[in-house]
Amino acid sequence: MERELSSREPDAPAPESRDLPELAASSRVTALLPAAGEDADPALEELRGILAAPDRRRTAALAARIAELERRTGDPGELVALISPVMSDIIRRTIQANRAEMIEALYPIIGQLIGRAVAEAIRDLARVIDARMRTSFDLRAAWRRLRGRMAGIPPEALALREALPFRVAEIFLIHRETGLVLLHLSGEEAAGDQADLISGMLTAIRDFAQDAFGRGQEGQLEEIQYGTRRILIEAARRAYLAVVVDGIEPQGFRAAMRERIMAIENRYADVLSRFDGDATRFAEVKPSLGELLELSSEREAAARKGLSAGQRRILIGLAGLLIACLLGICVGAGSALRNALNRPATAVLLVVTATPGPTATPTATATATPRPTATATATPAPTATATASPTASATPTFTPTPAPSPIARVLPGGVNVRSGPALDAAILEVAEADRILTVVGRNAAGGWWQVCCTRRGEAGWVASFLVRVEGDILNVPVTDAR
Amino acid sequence: MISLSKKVCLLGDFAVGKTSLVRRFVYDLFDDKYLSTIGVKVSRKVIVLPRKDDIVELTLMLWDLTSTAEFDSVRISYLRGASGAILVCDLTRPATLDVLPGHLAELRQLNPAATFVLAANKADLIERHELTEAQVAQRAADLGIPYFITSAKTGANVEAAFRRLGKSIIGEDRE
Repeated sequence: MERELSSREPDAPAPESRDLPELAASSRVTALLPAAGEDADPALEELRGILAAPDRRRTAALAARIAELERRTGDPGELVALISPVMSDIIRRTIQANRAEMIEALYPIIGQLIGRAVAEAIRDLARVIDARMRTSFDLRAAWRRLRGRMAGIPPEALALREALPFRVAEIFLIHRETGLVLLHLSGEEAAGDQADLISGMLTAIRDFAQDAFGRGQEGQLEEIQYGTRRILIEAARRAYLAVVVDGIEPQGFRAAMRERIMAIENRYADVLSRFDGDATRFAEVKPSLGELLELSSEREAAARKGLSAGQRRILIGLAGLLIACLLGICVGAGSALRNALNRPATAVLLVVTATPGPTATPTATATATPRPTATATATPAPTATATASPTASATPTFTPTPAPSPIARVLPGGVNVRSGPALDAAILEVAEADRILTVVGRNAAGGWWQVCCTRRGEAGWVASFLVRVEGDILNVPVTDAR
Repeated sequence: MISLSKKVCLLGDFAVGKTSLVRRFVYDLFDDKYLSTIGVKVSRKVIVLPRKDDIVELTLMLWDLTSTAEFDSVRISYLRGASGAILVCDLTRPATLDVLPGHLAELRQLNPAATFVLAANKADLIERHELTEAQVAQRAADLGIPYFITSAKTGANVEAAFRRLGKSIIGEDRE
């Protein structure tokens, strides 16, 4: 054994384990031979050469492999190529095994990145709100403040709510039974020609959801969400509207959708019930649905730009009026001062009350006799006296005649009149087809009309897609917060 | 040119080649996984057909319905509004021909005016055929609908089957 070990050259690299038995065997044989130089028998030398040849070849091969490994590990590029195939696997396994430690280790890096992104987003939002507050010199801002006061919500919060991004990406008008697209509008430049496929699959998904979750009850899929994008759905009996939006829709957007789909349903009831596949006639409703697209672009534009041309005009007008008023006041005050110095105090009073504008100056000169000026300033009076008797016959034209309440005509198949705007609300009675009910209210979320009256004289609720509403539905009050 | 769109269904037993007919010969946007998740996949096939003195660009919206029992309850909803269907059977499995009258009756119940075409598929697997053309012709005659011996693999007669269905739908089905 000592001979075997000593027979290996000190500088020779250690053989790989798989080579060891073979190498040991050949080394054992060569070790039994006399050492080179002592009793150098040519035959034995030749034998030694033959027996040692495999060792030498293996040693050379191993040296070459080691050199190659050293070269590859020394070059960063080569090293990456060498270990990258296994790195992802190692990282995944490490995360699985030591989740908490990995989070702790990565947080300083990832947390910084997230923090930076959030800060940037908040800065953007702040810029939008700031722009909105600076340009909030309009009726909407005043309405927002009023609304905020009434609801107990700070106007800033309402401004924030309105500043949240909202964009209508696509609008689909779809035939409910066939899933065929009747009209497609897109707010995206790269809209493909896949509207018919999407509307078909959307209809299939609606059918599936109804079957899977409806459990025989009335109801429908109203929204689909994926990431930040949502599909808002408003359905009538024979058609439905699917609007793809980003962000949070503004107040009243759903109502606008509902109003449009109901209008389409009413206008095209016959076409929809016997739809022959020709969607060209629905091009007429493009402007109406296009308003929904414009809503988002208007809002975006308002958030981006400063004062609008209209706002500038109003500001200039107000500034002009202010200057005119100041001039008027100055002139009036000047003449009043002159009069105060020359006339009794009563005359001054008359002049001051008769200065609605710059035209007051001539009247000041006419006040030499105080009485006539008093009658002259009463010129508006004739209108008052005139209205007293003759306008009695004219008053009917001015008294606001209340618009007739909209009516709901029950569609074929009838409708359940329920005690509340929900499918689990008690059924008060079943209204038969073509029965006409008066619409007295609606629910906040939409989809239900409050009608009057049942045969027992009670008010009840009907699902909107089971009735056809005629009349002015825009002024129907919200009578249920649901 | 008149542009029309119609909903049509692909009906037939499991693995008769309905999806293969769709995959190779129509515009296919969605993944086949929808068949196993909601039981249907919608594709599109546009054909241009002459009608009287005009030309009709007919867009067939193809609803490929899976035939597994778990979607039986929603099946009626999927069939609703279809103007016609391609009934597909497999020439290597005689039982797939026997179920077609049931599919036809199901759709006719919802739409009595629906039109049909029978596609006996897998014509390329000649050595494994267990149905003869005569048997297919007889069944088609019993149902009163035209038939085609098709192969989704080679494309044989697939286009012809779609065109014939399209003609039937627009009322120009005299060859």
